[in-house]
Amino acid sequence: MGRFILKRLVFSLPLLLGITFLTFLFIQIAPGDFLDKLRLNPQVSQDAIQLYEQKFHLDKPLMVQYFVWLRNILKGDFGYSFSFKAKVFDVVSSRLFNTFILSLSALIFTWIFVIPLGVIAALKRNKFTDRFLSFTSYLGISAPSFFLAFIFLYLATFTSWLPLGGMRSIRFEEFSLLGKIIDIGKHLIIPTLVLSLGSICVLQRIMRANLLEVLGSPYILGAKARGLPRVRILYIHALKNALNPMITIFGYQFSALLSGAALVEIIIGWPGLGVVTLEAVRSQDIYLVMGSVLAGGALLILGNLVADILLGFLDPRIRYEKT
Amino acid sequence: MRILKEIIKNKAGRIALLVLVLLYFSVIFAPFFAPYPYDDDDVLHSYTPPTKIHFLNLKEKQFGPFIYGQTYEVSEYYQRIYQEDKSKIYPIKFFTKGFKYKFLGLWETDRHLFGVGEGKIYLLGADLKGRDIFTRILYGGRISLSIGLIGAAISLCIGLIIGGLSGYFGGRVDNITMRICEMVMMIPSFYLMLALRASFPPNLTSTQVYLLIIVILSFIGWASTARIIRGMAISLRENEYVYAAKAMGLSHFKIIIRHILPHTLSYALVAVVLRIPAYILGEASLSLIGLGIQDPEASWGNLLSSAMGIVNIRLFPWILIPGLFIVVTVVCFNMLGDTLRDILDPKRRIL
Amino acid sequence: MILEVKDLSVSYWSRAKYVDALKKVSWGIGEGEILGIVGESGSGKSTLALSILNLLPPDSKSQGQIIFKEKNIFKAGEKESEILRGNQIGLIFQEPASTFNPVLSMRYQFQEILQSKLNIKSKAEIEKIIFDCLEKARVRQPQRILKSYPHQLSGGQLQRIAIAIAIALKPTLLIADEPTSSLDVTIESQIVHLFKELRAELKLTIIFITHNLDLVKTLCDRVVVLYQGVVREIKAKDELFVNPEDDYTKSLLDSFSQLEE
Repeated sequence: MGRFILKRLVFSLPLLLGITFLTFLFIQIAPGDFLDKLRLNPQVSQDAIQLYEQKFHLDKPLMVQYFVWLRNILKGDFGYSFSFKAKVFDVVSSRLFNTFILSLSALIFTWIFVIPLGVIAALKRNKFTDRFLSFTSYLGISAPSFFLAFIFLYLATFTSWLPLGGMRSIRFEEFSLLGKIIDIGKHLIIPTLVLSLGSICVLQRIMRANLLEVLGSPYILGAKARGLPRVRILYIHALKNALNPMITIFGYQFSALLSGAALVEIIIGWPGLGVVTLEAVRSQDIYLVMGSVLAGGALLILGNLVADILLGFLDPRIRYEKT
Repeated sequence: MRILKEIIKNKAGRIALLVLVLLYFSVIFAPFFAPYPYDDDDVLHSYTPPTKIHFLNLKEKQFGPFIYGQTYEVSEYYQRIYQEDKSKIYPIKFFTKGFKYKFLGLWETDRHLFGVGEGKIYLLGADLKGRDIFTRILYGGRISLSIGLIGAAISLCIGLIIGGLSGYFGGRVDNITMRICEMVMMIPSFYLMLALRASFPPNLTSTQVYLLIIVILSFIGWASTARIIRGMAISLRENEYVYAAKAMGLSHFKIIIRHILPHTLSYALVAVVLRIPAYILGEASLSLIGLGIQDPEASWGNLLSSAMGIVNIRLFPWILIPGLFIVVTVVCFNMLGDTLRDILDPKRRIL
Repeated sequence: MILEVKDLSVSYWSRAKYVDALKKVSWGIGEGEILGIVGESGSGKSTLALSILNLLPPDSKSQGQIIFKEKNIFKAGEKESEILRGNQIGLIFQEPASTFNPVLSMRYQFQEILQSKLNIKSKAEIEKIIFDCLEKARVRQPQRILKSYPHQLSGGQLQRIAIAIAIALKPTLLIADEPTSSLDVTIESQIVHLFKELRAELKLTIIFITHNLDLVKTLCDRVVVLYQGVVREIKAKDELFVNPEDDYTKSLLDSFSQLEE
């Protein structure tokens, strides 16, 4: 099992490398060198520009620049953000945590609903409940996240207790630990709802399809013929096998969440990676942009890695490939 | 075309196709349907709610659709409260004269579908600058709807070429290409969009932004199409007629173009149709946060940017209507794509 | 007669119409007998097996009676059927590999059935029964086998395990639906031999479904010949081979004897 994990980790490295290279490439696509913008930016001093010219060997070819950047990254130096006047690493990591919390909350919320809804739809196949769920899922898939965000915000204005955005209330620092957690929780409600809805709709349908397929398979018939109780067959045999393919989706869903979270974060004002990236783009803060994209990509790879490992754990066929 | 007939037979496909045709038709002829130019600032009517259309006024013996004029009071919170001014009546006339424009860009005319003469009709309300949202939705649709199609078409071309080449040649070329595809697909699309956008200065002209968005969207989207095409190319290249063609000395390129790609087209079509919503949403998201189409040009995403202020949503909920159009469009494309997929499903195909 | 089937008719819903699988089929089996049901593919043999245990798909139509121990069990409710399956009537499938859950170990699947169906709490007792039955089914290296997953074992091994599980529940009747059709000939004869031993040791009543007349000759006492959902002939084995009455039976035996020569 440990070998399996190691293999997966080793696989992920070139992927991460590839992402860093692609990211670097984008920045270089821009006509002229990136320091031009810095030169035009009145906030940046002449000395800083000279320092950067020296440091980044702008006269050297592209590949050299890339490796210099890479070397810096490995040293932990992600560059400096001009708009935040801090190291890119600090800015990104502080916001990364927030995005992580949000994505995690959406992930959990999704799965709490997906499994029961999928099971119900499969068991009541083609009856009213199933058709209704199918229809609403279809709508849910199509509704764009930002639109949902607006609608929810609109509805929230009619209640007095639902926070309208942001992550903390103004008097946050005055709360006890429990109070702080509850406060963040309240602020999580709308963004979580918005982010989850799309996933729930998509995944519920997949869950239903998977379960139906499993229920029709010969080993379920075998278990039934041997007289195993219906409940046991459903929840232990059928569900377990139906959930397996969903685990990979788990990883991909995480990545989709990260991507979708950015826009929702911006609209709702949740201080996460998305907001930071936007700010970076607006102020042409190149290293911050790179850092954000890198962080996003890394989180994604992490998500997929976790998914792969989970799958290996649950499905022995993959674990014992060599047998 | 056979496919078209099949789509029309399917109930969902029928509706989707109809709605989409209607939408595209309306935005192509936007100036005709719109009573006012899209950049017609009118601060006096800032954030006007949708105008009520009346049909009967017995006192003045007015029959047929008409609207009243508008005045406003300023409340104690310095907010405008609009009221109907029943002393002014403006009947709605059809095929009336309005602002000048070039019909289909060819000949000048000033006829519009409807108008109210001296009054101001805001079918779907007005935005901050008093511009008619209905009009801006029509003009904005031109951008939003076209970007989707063009972006998808370009992605398709790139995907066909890369996927076709990769699947056909196999081996290391295929391996490397697929790794690159996965990598591109792995980067969260929104961040990728932002990163690409960041490579260019934030304030470009709208035309430049339009082209830029198309480029960015294609850059993100080609990977998934390429994968699908490549998968199909791999299974198709084992076919006998490919061997025959090779034996006859046909160049690889010609084989790909004439023998392999045509068979992938139907599935590629489905893949593309299902991707168009993603492109439309991509443009909308960029414009929404101010990095896309800029004022005074309109795009559906751009129109929603005023909704970013929560106060605005509460007080002027009609500014969310462009969002409805986006949703409807997306739903229709999804329905169309699903219908196409059902039609082209080999289990149902007769050809 | 432990089991009697009376006028059983079953039709499946397939491609927009109902297709008859069994038409008024009647036969019976007595205690301690090995009854062979012979027929080619599509004759309805498997449908018979499924009907007895109420495992027919929900969109099928069926009528008739199946009397087991003097009670009509056909179309009994879920609860009743559950009790029947395994404890009273066991079923061995044709493809052992597909009838086991691929993601659970054989030990788990064996244990699970014993725990659910036999109401035994003591782990030691269950272990004993497992090893006992594996031995009876002549399973070699039982420890290793139990640790394995279905995809790691051969068809023969899996079928033996299936048999072990079936006999562990001590059913009155065992139905074997073409148990050797997907196995090699050498393994096949071993399994058939096993059935003989089990009948002697455990006094099992066995319904043996097959298309292979060879096996019928070796194993069965009486034979039911099935063709396209209709019973063509029911006779004691020796009588059938020597004196077939039905035309189809005759042609079947003809082609069989040709092979023998």
